Amino acid sequence: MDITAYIESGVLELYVMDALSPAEAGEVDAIAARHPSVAARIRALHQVFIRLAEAGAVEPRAGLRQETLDRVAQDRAPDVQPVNAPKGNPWLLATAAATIVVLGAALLYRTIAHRQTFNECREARTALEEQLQAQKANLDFLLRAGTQPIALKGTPLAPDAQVTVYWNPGTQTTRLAVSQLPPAPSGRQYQLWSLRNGQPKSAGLLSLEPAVDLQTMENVAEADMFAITEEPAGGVESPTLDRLVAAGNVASRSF
Amino acid sequence: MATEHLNVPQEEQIVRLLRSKNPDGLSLLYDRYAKMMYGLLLQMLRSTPAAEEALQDTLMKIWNKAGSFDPEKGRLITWCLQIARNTAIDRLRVKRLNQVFEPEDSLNALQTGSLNPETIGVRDLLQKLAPEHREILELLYFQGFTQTEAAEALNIPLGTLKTRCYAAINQLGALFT
Repeated sequence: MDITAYIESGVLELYVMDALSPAEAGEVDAIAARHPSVAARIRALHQVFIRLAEAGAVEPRAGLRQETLDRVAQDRAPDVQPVNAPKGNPWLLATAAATIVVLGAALLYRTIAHRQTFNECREARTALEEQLQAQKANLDFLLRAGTQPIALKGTPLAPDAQVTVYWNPGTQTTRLAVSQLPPAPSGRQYQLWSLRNGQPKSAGLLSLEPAVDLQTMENVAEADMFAITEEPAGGVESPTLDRLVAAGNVASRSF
Repeated sequence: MATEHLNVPQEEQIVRLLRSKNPDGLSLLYDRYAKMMYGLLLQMLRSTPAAEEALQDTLMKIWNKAGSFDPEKGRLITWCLQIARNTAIDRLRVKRLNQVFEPEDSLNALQTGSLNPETIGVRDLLQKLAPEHREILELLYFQGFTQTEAAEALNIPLGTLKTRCYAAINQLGALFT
């Protein structure tokens, strides 16, 4: 794995902003555990957000401190109240007090455990809802009238490449699915182009992450052909034609 | 370094107190970090009552979850800011589910400057970023969009989003050096 390219891919920034799916975040954790430079970069990024929070710090109104501490105190299991002038059997009282402490602690522990489970369930549900929404949006797009698949075939540079562009000329929405594409060499990235009468126009960069199923590309108004070239990471203004890896024609349609 | 006053020995002391369920830990944490968390919550929620409520919820979570904080994984303040952000994001998601999903709203709010006047300091700072970098930070960090949602809202491919994200945080980091 090219660690420098990985650090510069933008995935670590998404990681510290919690914008990755749990699976992708787990992948980052695993890589950071193996590569100290990745772990160091994550720490540095966290530091940037600490500085941002310092820059944006706002003093809450004076009364809020006590209100907050009181609210937390109320939520805590009630402390054992001091027993005034014990008249009965001191051993019995001590046993009773100890029982209350143990029960209180058990209750507190259970409450905390339940709340944690609840929060975890809620977080998991939110993640699933997001995935579902993304999949729904994909399905809506694929089923929308006018959306057409354009198969891009590999060139001798990447003979096995198989990429499908889904394009809706009405809405101009363009998405892309990679079935097969060799990983771009270090420091390079694939770029999609739409061509109209031989004139190329960039339709955006392909994600460096292999896991992305259907990528949203830039809107395309007019095209009779789509092509993918391998370019320096970050993309270029006009395509490097001798690095063409896949291309496909838009089926001519009868109107 | 401007962060030196957030000294590490005090963080350790706060963690020890919180773990032993000593309320002094929460008071110390409040005095040290409440204004950072509150500023972030105001920036995200854009309402004083909502930010105050979220700050209370955040401290409650910190108190309840202190046992799960792992100093090996990062600093206490990072953990606290993450809890504050998640609290605000939960609220923003509920709000978004109740409305029609309009990611453009956040961008409009950013452009028209309908942010809380108390967060002017950070807004001035963000104004120093290139507009496309500011957008990225606003959606991903302050509004809690996922990468997919942000790419859709900005109508750019995920690959472009990632590249822009790297550049955005680099530019932000450079403002602090």
